[in-house]
Amino acid sequence: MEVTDAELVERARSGDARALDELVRRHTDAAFRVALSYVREEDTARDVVQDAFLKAFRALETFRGDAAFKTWLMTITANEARGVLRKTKRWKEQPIEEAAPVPDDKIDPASAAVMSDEVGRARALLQSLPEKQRLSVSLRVDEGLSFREIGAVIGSSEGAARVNYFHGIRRLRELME
Amino acid sequence: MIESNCGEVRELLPLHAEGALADPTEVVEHIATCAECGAELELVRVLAASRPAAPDGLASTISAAVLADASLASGSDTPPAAAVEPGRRRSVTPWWQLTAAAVAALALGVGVTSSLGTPDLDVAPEYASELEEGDLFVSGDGLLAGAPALEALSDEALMQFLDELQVIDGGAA
Repeated sequence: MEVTDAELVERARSGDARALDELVRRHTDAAFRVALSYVREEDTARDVVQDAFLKAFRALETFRGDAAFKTWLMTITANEARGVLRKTKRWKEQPIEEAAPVPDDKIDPASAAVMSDEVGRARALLQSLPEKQRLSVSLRVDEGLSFREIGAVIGSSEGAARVNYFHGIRRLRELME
Repeated sequence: MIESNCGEVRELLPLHAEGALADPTEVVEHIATCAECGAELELVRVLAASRPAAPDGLASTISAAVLADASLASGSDTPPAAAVEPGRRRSVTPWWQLTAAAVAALALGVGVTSSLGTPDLDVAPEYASELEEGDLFVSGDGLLAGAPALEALSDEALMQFLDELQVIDGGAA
């Protein structure tokens, strides 16, 4: 039976390097997707994820286990990503009502060319949604988080996370037609 | 069977697409009679199929960095070799403690030069004479304080500064 995250966290707290390594390997993909959803640049996302893991493990003693380790790590990753965007003056919170999708011409042409099929197109269009919509859809579809967990990660209420998810899905369906 | 509506089913579609529902009967039966939810399930499946993964090697890089960081924090002398870049001197102080100490010293340096009037640039260390008030800040999490000031220093000035803080090669933190 696979060792749980909670068990790995306990072992990591005791200085078990293999437990630390296993936690990193389990959650790097998910943390990377969260970072990429925010910063939308692979190199920046890599840096965000590494910094998030470093911060998470430095603060491991403060992790009480009320949330899943994965959700806790994603919240740290999201905070880190928002911090990077703030520093680069690109981050701007938008209310749902005013949020408008990035025009298609803002999608990286190289990516669009590669992603000419339906699958790739859907992912590219997801990246064009307003921040909280794309994060809500990604965290629900890619990571299977509850709306309460999504709210914690993106800094919204559970209800706002649900609304952002359904707005995002509806918008994606419109764009895909 | 409990009568299901679109709202309840739509919330479950991502889990259904992953096969994570213990009992998918309700969703399956609803999808069979609801074209809207069926179309939405297709979109969710398409998105799930394009889920990006982290670049190759990223987990290993992060693992090495985390283990090196943990080793430094605990004072261990044996961090993984991959975590230490060749040719670099390894500090025994974790970087976040270093920047906190650095800011304290830098702030002190600025204070001293201010109280003494115009500093003597022939004798003042580079790290003191180069600083401007705007170089010092404390971030929200307290981890990045002073980083811009350190980044502005030349290698020589930085090493002089670190030596004076006695944080290199076994010095006291």
